[in-house]
Amino acid sequence: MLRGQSKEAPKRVTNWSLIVLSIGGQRLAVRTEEAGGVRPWTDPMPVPSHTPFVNALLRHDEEVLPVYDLAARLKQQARGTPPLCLIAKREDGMMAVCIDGTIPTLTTIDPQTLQPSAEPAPDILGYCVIDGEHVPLYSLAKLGLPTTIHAV
Amino acid sequence: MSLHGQSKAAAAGGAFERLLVVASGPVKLALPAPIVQGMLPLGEAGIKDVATVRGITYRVTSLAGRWDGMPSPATPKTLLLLCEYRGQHRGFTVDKVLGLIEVAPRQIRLLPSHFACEERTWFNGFFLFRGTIALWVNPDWLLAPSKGADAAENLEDTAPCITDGPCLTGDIIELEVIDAERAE
Repeated sequence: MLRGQSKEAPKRVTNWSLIVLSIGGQRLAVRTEEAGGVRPWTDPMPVPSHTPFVNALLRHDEEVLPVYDLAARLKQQARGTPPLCLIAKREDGMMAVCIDGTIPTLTTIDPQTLQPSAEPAPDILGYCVIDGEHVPLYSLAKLGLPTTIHAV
Repeated sequence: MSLHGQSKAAAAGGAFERLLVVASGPVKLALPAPIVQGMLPLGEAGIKDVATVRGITYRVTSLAGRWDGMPSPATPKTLLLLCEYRGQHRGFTVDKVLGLIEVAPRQIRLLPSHFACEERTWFNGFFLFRGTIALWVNPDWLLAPSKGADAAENLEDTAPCITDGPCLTGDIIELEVIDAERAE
């Protein structure tokens, strides 16, 4: 008889890899697997639109991406000359998001340490502590989807 | 009158959309050429509510006003596009005409699904145009009768008006297509 063996094997925790970036100096984090990369920002073409925070197209050679204005949602303005472009892998297609020109950093967290978001925003997965600061963790896969749009 | 004529593509039997690309503020828009009856430089006459040209009365608004955008201030270069579609006559002021082009259907892309509101009915799609993007305007929306619109004939009696007479500072520009530019 095998003694001392627990009925449940200890759960293996997989850490999440995050990109930590800023918009208007406000730090936020996103999951690395939901980002398609970071590149220099180029001038977008405004598109008349009533969809909240989706009001431009960004062209990069033959590729054209809709722009999600996360800075406007946060009531911030992206800083840096030039700012950077974060490619968000939203579940219905990729989007461009303008972020500060400060180079984003990488970190990992234990997802069990995430603190729930007080805001009713399904595209905010929670808050994590990075360098002693509470930083909101956004889901780029659900960023600004109709059920997740904030009233401004 | 309209932007008529035969281009090389049409002569060769190609299926191309002929579009007039204009700038309204920072937005580049492409209007189906057949709906554009002519263009009128406003000059010093400025923007009026109604224009009567060759006996046809056009209600005039800025193109940006069609989607609640901020119209650019009128300048001597501001143009009035005289449009007709399914019996509706409307005039739209624009900042600049960028060109008359022919676009193959394969070059036209749908607006990404991220644009989820009324704008999906405003534009039929977009295409790459000279290093940027032009939005293909849906004429059904552009020239749809506005709510509570007075008959243009009634407006003519009361609203500031342009008629093809002394207050016009330039001639009506009619375009005959010889060889339209192709989109990228």
